[in-house]
Amino acid sequence: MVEQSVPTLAGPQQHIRDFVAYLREHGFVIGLAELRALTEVTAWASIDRPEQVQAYWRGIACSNQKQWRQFPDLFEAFWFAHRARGKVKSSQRKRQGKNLHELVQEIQGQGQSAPTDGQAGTLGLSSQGAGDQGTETEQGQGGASATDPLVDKPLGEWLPHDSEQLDRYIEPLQARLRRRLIQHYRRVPQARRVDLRQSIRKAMGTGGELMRLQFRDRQTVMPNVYILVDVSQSMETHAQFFLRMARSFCQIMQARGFVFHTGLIEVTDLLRRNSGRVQEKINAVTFGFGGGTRIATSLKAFVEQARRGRHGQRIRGLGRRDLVLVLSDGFDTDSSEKLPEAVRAIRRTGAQLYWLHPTVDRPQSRAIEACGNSISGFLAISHLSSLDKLVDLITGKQSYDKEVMTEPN
Amino acid sequence: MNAKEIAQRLQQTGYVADESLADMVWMGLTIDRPILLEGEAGVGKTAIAQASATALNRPLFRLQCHESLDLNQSVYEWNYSRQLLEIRLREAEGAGQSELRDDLFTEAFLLQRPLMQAITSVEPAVLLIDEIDRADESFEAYLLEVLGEYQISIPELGTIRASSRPLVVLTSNGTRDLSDALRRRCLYHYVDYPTVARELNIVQTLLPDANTDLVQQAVLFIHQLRKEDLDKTPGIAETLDWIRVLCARELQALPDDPAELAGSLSALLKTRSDQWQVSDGVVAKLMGSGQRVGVDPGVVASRA
Repeated sequence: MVEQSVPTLAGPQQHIRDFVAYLREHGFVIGLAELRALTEVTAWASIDRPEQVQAYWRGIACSNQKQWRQFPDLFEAFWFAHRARGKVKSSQRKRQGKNLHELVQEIQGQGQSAPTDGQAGTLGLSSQGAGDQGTETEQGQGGASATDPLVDKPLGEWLPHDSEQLDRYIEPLQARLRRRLIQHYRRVPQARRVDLRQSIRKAMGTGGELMRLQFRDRQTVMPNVYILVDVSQSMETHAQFFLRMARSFCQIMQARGFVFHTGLIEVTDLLRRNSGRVQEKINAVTFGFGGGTRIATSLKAFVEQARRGRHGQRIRGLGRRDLVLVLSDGFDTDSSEKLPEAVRAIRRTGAQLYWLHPTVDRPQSRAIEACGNSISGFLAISHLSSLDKLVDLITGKQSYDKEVMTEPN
Repeated sequence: MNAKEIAQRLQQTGYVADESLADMVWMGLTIDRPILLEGEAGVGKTAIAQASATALNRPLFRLQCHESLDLNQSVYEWNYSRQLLEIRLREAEGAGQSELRDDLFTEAFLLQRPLMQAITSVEPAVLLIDEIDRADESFEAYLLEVLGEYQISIPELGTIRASSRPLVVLTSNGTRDLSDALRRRCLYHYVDYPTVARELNIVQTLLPDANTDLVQQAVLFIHQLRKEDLDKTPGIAETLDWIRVLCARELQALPDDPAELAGSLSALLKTRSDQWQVSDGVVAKLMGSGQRVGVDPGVVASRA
C-alpha cells in the first residue's frame, strides 16, 4: 500500500478546481473529497500519458453510465481544446493557463518537495486563480431560457427527438405519486415498532424464550401502473407520442405497457428498453390484428392478462389503488353495452381508471357516455404541459377533476 | 504494485482486464476507496472481485444482496441458540447471574457475517458486495457508515474498527438507481462489452484448446449479434458457453448452413422473443457480415 501525504497546492489545485467546475456544469456531482482524490491520484500518473490521468480521474469523477461515456469528450475539450474542437458541446468555461502535462509535472514536483505544513506550492498561476474564481462562476449559463418552448407545442407537431423531453415530466409524477400511495406495515430490522406477532413466532425456535424482537414500520409502496395505448388507425397521428409516453412510464415508474386495437398485447419488455425501433416492433406484434378498435374486448382481456406476470406466471393482478391509464380517442367498434361492463370489471378490483384522449373534448361515443362515473377521470393530452394536469388528476386534486369531468361538450 | 502488474496478475488468474479496469483496482487499493462496477449482466463484474482476491492472494468475502437483506444476514448476529444453551448450563451449574450477564454478549456468541468478516480479517481481504441494487435503500444507507469509516457498531460490544482495509467491490446491474451518497464514496467503472480483440484474448485464455479459426469466427458473429436489438444481449459468459458447445460438436469453423448453427444459439439467446427475432435469415446475414471482417493477431482489420 502506498502511503503518501497529499500537499495542499494552491496552484495546480486551482486548475483541477477549474476542471471540476467545468464538470459540474455538465451535471457531475463532485465534492471536496473527490477534488482531493483527483489531486492525490495525479501525483501517481505518468507525465507523458494523459490517458492515464484521464483513466484515474474518470473513476473518481463519474458516478453513472452517462457520465462515464461523457467524460472522455469533456476531458479532451477542457485540456486539449485544439484537438476536440467541434466534437463536444461544452459550456463557455475555458481552460486558463497550464496544460495537463505541466499540471501533472507541477503536482508531482510539489508532492516531492512540499513542506508538510500544507502552505507550500503557489507556483504558476496561483495569484490569478483566486481572482478568476469569481468571474468564472458567474459565466457560462449560455443564455438558456427558463421556459421550455416544447411545453406548449401541440402533439401533432412533435418530432421524435422532442419525445426525449417526456422523461423530465414523468419523473416528478413518480415523486408526487409516492406521497399518496398505499401505506402498510412491513418488517424492517432498523425500525423501532415491535412486531409482537412475528417476535412470538420467532421465539418458537428458542423454546418460547422471547430473545429476538422483530420490528416493523410503515412503508410507502408504489401502486402498480398499467398503461394501455390504442394503436388503431384513428390514433395513427398520436400513437407515436403516446407510445413514447408509455415508454417513459414503463422505464421510470416500472409500469406495465399494453397496446390494443382489435386485440391486446403486452409490450412492457419492448418499452423498457431504449430501442429506436419500438414503433417498428409494435407494428410487427400487432400485425395480425384486424381493422377497427375493440376497446371493451381489449379491456376485458387486460384484466385477465394483468393476472399473469410478464413471463406468464400467476400474480395478484389488479388491486386497490392501482392505476390504469387508457390512452385512446374512445372510438369503439364493440357494442356500447360492453364497455361499461369492462370498465366496471376493472373498477371492482379497486383500481382507478383514467382515460387520456388526444382530442380537446372528452370522447363523445355512446360507450363512453354509458360508463358514467365508472371512469375515474378524463384528461385531454394535447401538449406536454397536460402531463402536469395528469398528476393533479391522479393525486386527487378534486377541483381539476371536476373541471375535467364537467368539460363542456 | 502498479496497475500494469495488477493486470498481469489478473491475467495469470484467467481474468483479462483492460487497462482502465486494472487502473481502477490499483486506485481502489491505493486510495482505499470502494469500487462500484456497473454494466450488463455477464460482462465480468463479479469475476473481477474473485480474480482480484486470487491475484492479490487475499481472502474473498462475498455478500449477495437481495430485497430482504438485513443486518443479521450481512453484518453480525448473536448466536441465540448457543446463548440459550449457555444459560441453561450455567443455571444447572448454579453460576452467578452477574457473571453470566458479562459472558453472554462476547465475541464467542457472535456470528460474523461477510461485512464483519472482511472488517475484522487480520490480513487485508477482498469484499464483494454483489448486486447492491437489489438490496433495500435502508441497507444501502447502513453501508455508507461501513464503507466510509470501515467500522461497525455493535451496541453490546462497542465499535469494531477495521484491522486492515479490505478492497471493496460493489456490483450493480442498474435495476434500481443507487443513491448519490453511495456513488460518491466509490470509484466508478462501467464495464462494457469487450472489444473483439479483448474478447478473443479472453476466450483464448480460458479455452486454450479451442480451434483458433472457430474462436475468431464465433467472436465476430457474437459482436454482430450484439448490434441486434435484443432483450438480453449475450455477454462474455454466453460467448464462452457457446464456444464450448461448438467445440463439443468438434467443429473447426462455423457451419455454412444457418439452420445448423441455429440449434446451438440457445446458449446465446435467453428469451423467447430473442430466439424468435434471430431467424435463419438473420443468422445468415450475421454470418455474412462476420466474414467480411478480417482478423489479425489480436487486432480487427478495417471492414472491406
